Amino acid sequence: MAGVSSCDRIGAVDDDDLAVCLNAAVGGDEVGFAAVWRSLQPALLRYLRVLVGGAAEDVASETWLQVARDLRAFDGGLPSFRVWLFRIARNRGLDELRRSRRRPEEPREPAGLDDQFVRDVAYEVAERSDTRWAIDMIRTLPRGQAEALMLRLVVGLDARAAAQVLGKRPGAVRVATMRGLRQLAVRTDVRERAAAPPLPRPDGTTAVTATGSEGM
Amino acid sequence: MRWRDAIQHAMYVWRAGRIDLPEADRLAAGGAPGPGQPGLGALLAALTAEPSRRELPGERAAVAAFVAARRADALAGRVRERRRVRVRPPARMAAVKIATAVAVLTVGGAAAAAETGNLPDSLQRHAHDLFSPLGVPAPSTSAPPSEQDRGGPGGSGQPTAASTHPMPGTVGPGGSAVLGLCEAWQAARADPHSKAMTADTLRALGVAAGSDSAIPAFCAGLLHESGKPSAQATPGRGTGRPLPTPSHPGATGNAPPHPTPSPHH
Repeated sequence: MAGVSSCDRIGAVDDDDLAVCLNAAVGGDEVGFAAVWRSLQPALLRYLRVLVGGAAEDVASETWLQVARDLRAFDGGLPSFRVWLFRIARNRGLDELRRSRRRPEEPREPAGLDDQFVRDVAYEVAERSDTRWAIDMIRTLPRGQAEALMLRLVVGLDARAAAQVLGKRPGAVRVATMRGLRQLAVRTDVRERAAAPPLPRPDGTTAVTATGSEGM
Repeated sequence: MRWRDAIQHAMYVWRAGRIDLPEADRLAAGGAPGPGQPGLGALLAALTAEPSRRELPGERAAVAAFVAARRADALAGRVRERRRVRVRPPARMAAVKIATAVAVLTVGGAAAAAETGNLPDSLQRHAHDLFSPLGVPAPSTSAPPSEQDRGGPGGSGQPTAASTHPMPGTVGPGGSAVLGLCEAWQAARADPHSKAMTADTLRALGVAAGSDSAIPAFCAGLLHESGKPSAQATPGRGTGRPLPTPSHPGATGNAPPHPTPSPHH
């Protein structure tokens, strides 16, 4: 297989190359699997941050464990692989949400934002500050809108594929996307962002060390 | 004229910032927002920005899990061939879990010496699952089959009673993985300038040793014993040869149909 050698590259891989890598991975090739991981992990992580906040890293690695286990039996192209991957991630993420809701020592606050900043230290350092800010904005939306936006904008799924992941109809996904965009467009912190240069959160770190140590 | 209406409508949307369905579709496909939505463009760009390097740790762990799963597949295939029974799904999952933990811990141990090797929490949990039943190798056979295990062979046959012992090598592979951790621990200790082991790796070692304070004695004993080459017990009983490479997954009698990947999609 001539194309498989491109799976070894570090940089961006286009969809044609990635399809070759995926085929190799299904056949058991670890270089192909690594290429698939590299190419989809960032979007997966961002989607999961919106869905489960601080538990995103954990849920992502659980997702890849299941993919590693079941990939051999996967039969389809790259588009259906994306849907499959994000369906697994979503199911695991929803499981995680149910688990964390049941955990008595970690009461979930409706605000969401502070909660997230307190709980996820890794998140604090892992992400570029502007991407972090954008993800936090998305997190303020109702979950259906937030998920639709992430799947379409960040993962690059069309309305039909996103609908398959979400178990909804494509029309509902389009409407959710529109409502989400409308809400974001009128937010003052988004509109002001256009004028102000991006700044990291001033005292986010102190909040993390103050409350994070007792939470964990 | 319809097209004129459409253009006027589009211009209105673009200027006034009223996002309708077609405009939402356009934005969702990567289009730039109009001047009616200041800040939205920055938001969408930040959302889809190139990943930072920090977003890509964990590749080694994921690939190790993949390799371990392939080996477990090959192993399960061989066991099936020999015994002519199907390994029950819970048992197979347990085998995959163990193989995964072993691979991850081995990689983690090596990584601790080389660069930052971080055991993700979920894998950490698997490591705990692995080490806690040391000496009690039988998994719970009463566990209900997981619904998520759709990747298994499309078996129509009823699983036979578990006459196949699913985890013959619990202590063996665990031991060799722990040995790797001990070696990394030893190396980190001997050379104060080397990179310290990560907290996760240390925790895994602590779990294996029983407690953090027991690590020195535990590792001393293990490193002392490690002169014996026989400790490398692969779970494949009775086969001394190495497992097949993952590029040729075991196509054995009862193995599931190998999907034929087409180069086109």
